This record gives sequence, structure tokens and C-alpha cells, in this order.
Amino acid sequence: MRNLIMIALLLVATSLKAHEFSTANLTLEQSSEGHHQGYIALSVSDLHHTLGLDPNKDGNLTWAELSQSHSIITEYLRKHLQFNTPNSSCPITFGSDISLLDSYGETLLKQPLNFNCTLPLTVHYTALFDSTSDHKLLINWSFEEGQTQTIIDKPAQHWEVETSSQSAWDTFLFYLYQGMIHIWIGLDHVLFVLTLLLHYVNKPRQTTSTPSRNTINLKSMIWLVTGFTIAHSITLTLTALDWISVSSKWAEVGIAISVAYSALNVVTHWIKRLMLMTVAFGLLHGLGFAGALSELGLSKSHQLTSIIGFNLGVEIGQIAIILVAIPLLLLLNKHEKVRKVLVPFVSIAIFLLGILWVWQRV
Amino acid sequence: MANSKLKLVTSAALPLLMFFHSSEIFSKEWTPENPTDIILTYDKDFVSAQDESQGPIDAQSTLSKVEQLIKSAKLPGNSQNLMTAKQWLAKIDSQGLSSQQKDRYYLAQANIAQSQHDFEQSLTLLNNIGQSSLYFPQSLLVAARVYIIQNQLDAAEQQCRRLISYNLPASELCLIEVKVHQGELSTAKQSIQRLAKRYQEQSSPLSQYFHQISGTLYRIEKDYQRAQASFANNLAQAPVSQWYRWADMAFQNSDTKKVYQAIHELEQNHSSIEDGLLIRLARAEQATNSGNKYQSLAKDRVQLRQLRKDDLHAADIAYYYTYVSPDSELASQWAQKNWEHVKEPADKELLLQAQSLDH
Repeated sequence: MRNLIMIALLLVATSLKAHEFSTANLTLEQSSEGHHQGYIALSVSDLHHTLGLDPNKDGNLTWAELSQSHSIITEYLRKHLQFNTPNSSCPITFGSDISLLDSYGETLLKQPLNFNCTLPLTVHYTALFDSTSDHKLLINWSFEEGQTQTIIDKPAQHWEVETSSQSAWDTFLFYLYQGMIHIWIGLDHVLFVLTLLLHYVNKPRQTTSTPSRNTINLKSMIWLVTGFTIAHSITLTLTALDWISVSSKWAEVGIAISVAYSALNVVTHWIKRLMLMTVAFGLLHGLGFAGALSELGLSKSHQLTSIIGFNLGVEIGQIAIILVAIPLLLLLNKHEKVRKVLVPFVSIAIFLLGILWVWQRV
Repeated sequence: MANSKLKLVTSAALPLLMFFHSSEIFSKEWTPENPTDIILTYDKDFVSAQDESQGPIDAQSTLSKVEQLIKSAKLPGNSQNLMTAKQWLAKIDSQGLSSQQKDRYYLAQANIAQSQHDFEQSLTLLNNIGQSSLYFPQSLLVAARVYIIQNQLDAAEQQCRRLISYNLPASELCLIEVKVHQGELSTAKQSIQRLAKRYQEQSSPLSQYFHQISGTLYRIEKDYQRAQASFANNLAQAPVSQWYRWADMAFQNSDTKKVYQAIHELEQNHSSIEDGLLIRLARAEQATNSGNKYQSLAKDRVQLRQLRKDDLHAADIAYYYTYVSPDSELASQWAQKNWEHVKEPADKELLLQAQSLDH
């Protein structure tokens, strides 16, 4: 007998490594003081599995059958989702306008809800833990003062909700860092700045009023880079605040063109008023930075701080590039023969890369 | 360039992305136009724990049902049966069980805890099963497996030795498995070769166990052809973990088409498949240029798993960032998290591979 049980159950012991994970989402927004509204989204499969929503048990759950079972679902949620202040509980109103959400390859039921509750409050959530595997509730909550998020992964876990959001300083530092990172890993921006600097070592024939070949007019260079910064700050800020909107695809194409053109100009000197070209292209680069910033998202509570931080980060990143480049450029300036070969070669290479990007991005 | 930029930005700021982009988690919201639109299909022969009457349940038959569900949960596309087993178990009043029923109850709970990587809980539950119980040998085997997963090989060996007086062949295989993990490959190989004839018959549970061990041995020896052949044994009835190993060996042998066909067929025949299988299907799809459907789905699933902070089940995420969408930072980070909990040869291989992406 013992052997029979042993053999029959042997396979169970070998490995139970596969899992399906159950995830629900609670998204809430504080619409006015004390009033919160949003929805909870739960897997239809998990709900059916837990509550048996299909009255005729025919293997197919229809929309009508789900709608008929709506009261079972809200009754279940009422038992398993609660918001409490230290003194009382906050009754939840569940909306009847349910819908479905496709999320990560799964169908979820979106159940609207709202309640009145003053902060601080506690969230108690116990649904689906007993009947599903590795259930987690992901909470995202927007308040007037900011946003907060958490994960509840145990029925005994209570979440204390307070409005303390990220401080302005933390937000500033985060975006400052992201601005620096963005310019350093964005080869197109780096190369554009580099081509601007190359103009200073490959100037057209000297006039008596300009400095000698083996010096670099640092003041003029700083002004030029500042012009670039001011220009990209304008479009970055306007785009980030949703005051202007330009297709990111065409902004990226424009940036690629700017890289190619600026590189070509190092050799051809077609445009002599460098500041004009820099400002015009700087406006385009600002659109690109705005694209990166939108990937990150703006802090709701510290919107302007995010933009200023990101802008300053880009600026610091840019200055770092210039500080690395200047000694090299000075060195290049001292070796006329190398300069004459290397500068056009690098410029043409950047030009070709710019053209390739234009082709890829179109 | 845009991709690498995005990767760097997201890896540095994932919590903030979740913070700011909560509303973008969902790709599509809809309300069916027709009330008769089907929104969920499920196995109608399958009896949910909710379908039964609310009256007292028969513990004996419920335990049998639970055991059956746990057994079937290991097969591809069936892991949801584990949660049904959990539901049924919750209905049983453990106070009213006979001693034998209590042991079955603990064993089932231990199996579920193991599957959820709650290894300590699993071992605690197994300790409730006494030596005189009919289920004691089974508890030893489950305990040995838990210890092997945690790389506590001396403890695993002890469990296997205790099995000798209850079931010699199972004990023998259990000890060989421990030897394989201990790195005593030549001793283990001799035993495998000696027993090969005995386990030629493909479908018995012991034979399946034997082939899983031999596959692991060949894998460690980097004899990927033999490893693949071993893991291919009775694949149609094999647990998901064996499917993972078979697919990984097939990838090593550039047998990507075979992987694509086999897992694609599984996917077609089940309403959903486990994330580990989906990610391997995505890898095969990529390698065979068979489109982008599964790569896109795998990307979504992995993104969700990251949002969930699934540290206890990190292998799938690490695998995705190692093989499907290589990202050295994320691959190493998640492979390391996986290694903190699970220490089998496949997990070590994954960690090394993820770390090698840096170079």
C-alpha cells in the first residue's frame, strides 16, 4: 500500500515549478477633498474561479452572464475591500457601468467605485488570496498633493494611506540625474554638441581680427552652447507642459538632420552665423528631450521642478561633454597636420551617421 | 539607440514609471456589444470549489480531488489547478480529519507551499507527518526536493537515505539526484548507466524521474544532445519543469524549430500557458523568424511581473532579459534574485549567462 501511494504521488514531488500569477489593480483619484473615485480591475477568470459566475456551467461565460452575476461580485468586494479612517469605515459605492480591460494578455473586469473618506486612512484588502496563486493587488492613488503606489500581497497586510509624496528636492534630484543620463546616452545629442565644438578648430580662413589658430575662443564657445541650451529649454518646457505638440517621429528626424547638417557645416562653412544655426537646431533637440521626459512622466505634484531638474541635468551633462572635449580640441589645434586630416574625417563620419539616422527614422 | 536609451531609463526608474504611468497599464478598455459575447472559456468538466453545495463536504473524496488537482497542475497549461486545490483544501475542517487524512492534508499543503516557493512553510508542514504514516515516504521525497532546490544537499541526502526502508528504487534515484547536485558526476553517471535498462519503459513515474536526473547530469557535463534526449522522454506527459529543461537543451543544440512547434502546439491547446513556456516560445519565435506575437505577449507578461515585484519567482524575468530581449543589467539583477531562492543547475546556468551579457 505504502509503495502504491509512493509511486502514484512520485511525480508530484518531482517539481511544481510552474505558476500562474493573479494580479488585480486598484486605481483611485482624489477628485475633491475627502472624495475618491476610480476602479478595481480583477481577472474575469479569477473571479469566475472564486465565485462561480456562470449559471449554466457550459464552459462559456458570456457578457450577459457576467452582468447578471454583478451583484455577487460587488457583494464579494464589499466583504474583501475596505477603507477605514481611525474612527470609522468608509462605505463604498460600486458603479454599475462595468467594462472589460485587456491587460497583459488577460481579460479583467473593471469595476468602478467611489467613496468619501478623509485622510489618513487604511486599506484592507483580502480578495482572491485564498483562491488564486500568488495574488497581488497593485494600487495607484492620485491625490491633490501627489501620487502614491503600493502592492498588497498578503491578506493580513493593511496599508496606511497618507498624502506624503515625494519631496520637491527628491523629485528635482531624480530629474536632474535623468537629464544628465539622457544626454550622455543620446549619441545624437552628444555628436551635435561635438560638431558645434569642431567648428572652433576648423574655422574658415582667418581674418586679422580673429584669434590665432592655436587658441580656442572659449567665451564664444560658451555663448554658443548657452544658446543651444536656451533654445532646447524653450521647446522642452513648452512640450512638457503640453502647450505645443510635435510628432516625436518628425522631431527625431529633425534631430538627425541637425547632426548631419552641423557636421557638414564644419567642413563647408555654409552657415557662418553659428548662433543662428545652433538656436534653430536647439529648438529641435528640445523636442527630443521632451520625448524622453514624457517617457519618464512628469511628477504631478512637482511639475515645474521636474522640468527644471531635467533641463539642468541636460545642461550639466552638456558641460561635462565640453570639459572632456576642450583639452582634446586644444591638443588638436596644436597639431596642424593631424587636425587637417582628423577634423574633416570625423565630420564626414558624423554626417554619414546623421544621414543614416534620417533614413532609419523616416 | 532609442531602445538602449529606453532600457537605461526604465531600468533606473521602474518604480517611478509605475508611479506615473499607472493609467497606461491597460492597453484596451471595451464593453461587449452583444450580451451573448463570450468573455471567458473554461473547462466545463472541471468542478470549481464554488460549484458544490455549501453543506458539509466529504473529506475523503475532497482530499482525493485535491491530490488529483495538484498532480495535474504540474502539466503545461494546468497550473491554475493548484489554486483550485487550494480552494478545496480551505473547505476542509482539519480538526475533523482522521490521522491518515490529516497527513494527506499536510502533504497537499506542503506541495502547494513548495510551488509558491514558501520552502520553510513546506518543510514545517511535512514535519507534521509521522514515521508511521502511509504518507511518510512521500513527505521525505518532497522534503528532499525542497532541500535540493535550496542547495542544502546534506539535508536532502538524509531524506533520501531515510527512504531506503520504504521504497528502495525511489531512494536510489533520490540519492543519485543528490550526487548529481553535489558534483559527484562520475559516481552518478555510473549509477545512471547501470539503471538505464531498468528504466527503458518510458511512462512510469520512476522512469520519468530517472530521465529527469540523467538529463540534469548530462546538462552539467555540457553533453546537450544526451540531455535533450533525456528530457524528451515522455514529454507529452511531462511536468512543466521538464519542458523548460528540454527546450533549453534544444536551444543549446540549435533545435529551435522543434521548440517552436512543440510549445506552439501546447499554446494552441490550452487557454493559457505558463510564463516560462511563453517566454521560451518567444525565444523560439525570434530564432525562427516566425513573427512577433509571442515576443510581444512575453514582453507584456514580464513587464507585469516586474510591476508585481515577483522576487520569489524571478527566473522567468531573468530568462527573458537574458535570451529574448537581452539587457545585461536587468538580466543579472533578476537572475541574482532568483539565485537567492532557487539553486538548481538551470538557475546557476541562467545566472552565469546573465552575468556574461556584460562582457
